[in-house]
Amino acid sequence: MQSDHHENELEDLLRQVFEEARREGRRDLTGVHAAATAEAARLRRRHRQRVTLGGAGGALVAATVVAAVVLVSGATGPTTSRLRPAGPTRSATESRPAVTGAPAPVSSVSNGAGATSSATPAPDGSAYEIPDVLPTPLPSGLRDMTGAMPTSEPELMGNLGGCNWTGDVRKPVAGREWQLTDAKDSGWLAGLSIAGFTTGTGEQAMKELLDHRLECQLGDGVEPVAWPGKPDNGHLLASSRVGDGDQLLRPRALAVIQTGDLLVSAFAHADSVARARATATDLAERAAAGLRGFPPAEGAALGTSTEPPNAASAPGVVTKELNGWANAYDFGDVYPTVEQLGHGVSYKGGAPITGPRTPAASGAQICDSTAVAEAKGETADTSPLPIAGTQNSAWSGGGGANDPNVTISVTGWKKGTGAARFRDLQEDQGFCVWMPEQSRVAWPGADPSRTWLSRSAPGQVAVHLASQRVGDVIVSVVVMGMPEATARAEAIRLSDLVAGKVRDSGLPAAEGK
Amino acid sequence: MGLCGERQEPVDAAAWIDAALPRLMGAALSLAGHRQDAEDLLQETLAKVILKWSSVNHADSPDAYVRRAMVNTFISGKRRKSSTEVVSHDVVTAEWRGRGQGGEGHDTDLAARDHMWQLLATLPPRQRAVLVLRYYDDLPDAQIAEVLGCSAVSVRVAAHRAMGTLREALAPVPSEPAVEVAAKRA
Repeated sequence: MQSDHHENELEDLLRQVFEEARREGRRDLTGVHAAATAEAARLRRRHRQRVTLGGAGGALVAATVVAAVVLVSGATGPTTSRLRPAGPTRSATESRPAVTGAPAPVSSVSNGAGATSSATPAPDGSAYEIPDVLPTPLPSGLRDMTGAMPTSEPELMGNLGGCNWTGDVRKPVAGREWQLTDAKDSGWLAGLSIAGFTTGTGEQAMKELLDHRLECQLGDGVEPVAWPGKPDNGHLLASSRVGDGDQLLRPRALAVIQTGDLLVSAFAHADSVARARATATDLAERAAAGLRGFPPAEGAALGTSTEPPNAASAPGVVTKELNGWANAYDFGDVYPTVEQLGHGVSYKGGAPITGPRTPAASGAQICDSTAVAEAKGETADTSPLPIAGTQNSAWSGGGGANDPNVTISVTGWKKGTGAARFRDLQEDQGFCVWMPEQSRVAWPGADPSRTWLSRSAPGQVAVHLASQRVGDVIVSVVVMGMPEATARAEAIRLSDLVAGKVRDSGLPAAEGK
Repeated sequence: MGLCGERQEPVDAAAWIDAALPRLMGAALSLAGHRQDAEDLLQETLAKVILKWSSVNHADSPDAYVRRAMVNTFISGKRRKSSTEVVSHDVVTAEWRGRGQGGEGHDTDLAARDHMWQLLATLPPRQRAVLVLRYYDDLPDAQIAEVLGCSAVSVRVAAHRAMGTLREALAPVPSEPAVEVAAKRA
């Protein structure tokens, strides 16, 4: 069969690749053993110190080295976007028939579509088994690739993003998913995923998904859009941007529906955004309809669904913190236009990359929590992170070191801390440090406490940085690939331009509010 | 299949590590994707092994302990850096397609392997770990589940997802125009 053939080819390729690693693993291992021994000794010392100080004795595992966190400035990163569409709050269960009787666990249940589901906890520890509600017929051109797969980690974002259900976060008690492909077996082109949450918490889970507090995120180039006719908080529609000139992303869409304590999610890739949206919404709506009568879809208990898998998943718990991927606020369009950039450069990487872990001076810094922590003698770097950030790069030609190249980053910091964080930048402190090393040069006429102009050390690739603080916002522009004087002048000019846009935006953070 | 053969009797940590090092490095490379990260991963894992050697040495299978330690270290490390170092699956895929999917013969093989390394970097760490445990360590799903602390079903789901993603990325798309790839500076 063709699909088996492809599968074998893929497996062979994986084995070849890992065979390379096996061969490479035999090469020059000098120092690895010694380094590990030294590291163990260091951890042992730290452990003893903690015990002596009456600290977290026994917390040896927690004291292990934090893995290197390296952010290559200008590299791609996750796009974050607030998922809350405008509209009134509504519980999706309101439109469902009322469930009569006590919401007690039942031994088996038949849903409206005739599919049955066992209420016995599933072998993988799930509270119950979600019935097979894959719509039939499937949308045109799609076929079921995997069948119904139970999972404790349902991927609600399909392959348009990701969920991280580990740790002390709200997590599902049951999950099931289906992967769909086309007739040519071209891969995971569409899918359906259902996550069941602790009884009585479905509405809150959806709310947190929309408000970016559930640990699920959309990937680059996908953003929430209005779902016509569904202006409530029981529905989410997201799709790739239309007409933003980004040719790298295939049109795709994601639709999520809350029904009782279940989130029903479907995604699709297609040749147009409209078609992707239509397929995703069709799959999600028909699957949700198929769940009518299934107790968790009506907010009733089933199996062990009343037992939260952890404290964060219990009824009444509200996840307050935004997840680590979300900006606390949006900056709006603070970037120079292509005309304003000049020098033949343009934003060839597509939309800006947003997220709170944006370096204050992207393009001139590297973020390495190990190195920073070690330098401070700490186990893990505890430097404050921005609460909002956006960065983008523009370049001409192929973006080589000698091609004119501009990287802009704008970071927002906690209220009242902008000045301290700007000092961190100036003093090479904080969660990111210079890469390459920067030497300050004079910025005539500028307030030295609110501005920074620098160039990389001689002998290194020429990186010119101009940064300035606007309230609790730091604006940085890095210019490369231009003659010395031009690069410096352009860094200043563009940072002034972006800072002006930040000021004019009316953003409270720009005024330290 | 053991990392360095079946253990006969208690041995000292140094001897065990020396014998296991090449294979462990290969596993770390398969997980991490490049040498520097692999060395960091291996160093961190081995430090834990050294610290806990007395219990590791008395475990039924030191290999299983070390494998689990390495995979967990990899996954938790990736989680910590999840939003600071992300390889764009779309960019990698588009780059591949823009290249016309390699040249000919030897070049094609090299390009395919090179591309596969890039694609592996785009997979979520858990999915990547599943592939490494399956195709590097040749472990059955039940044993992979033990290493990852999940069910065999979850392993199969993760493997399905990973293979689906890779298949899609490698599938020829003749109608799609070659696109200019965002060549970020090194």
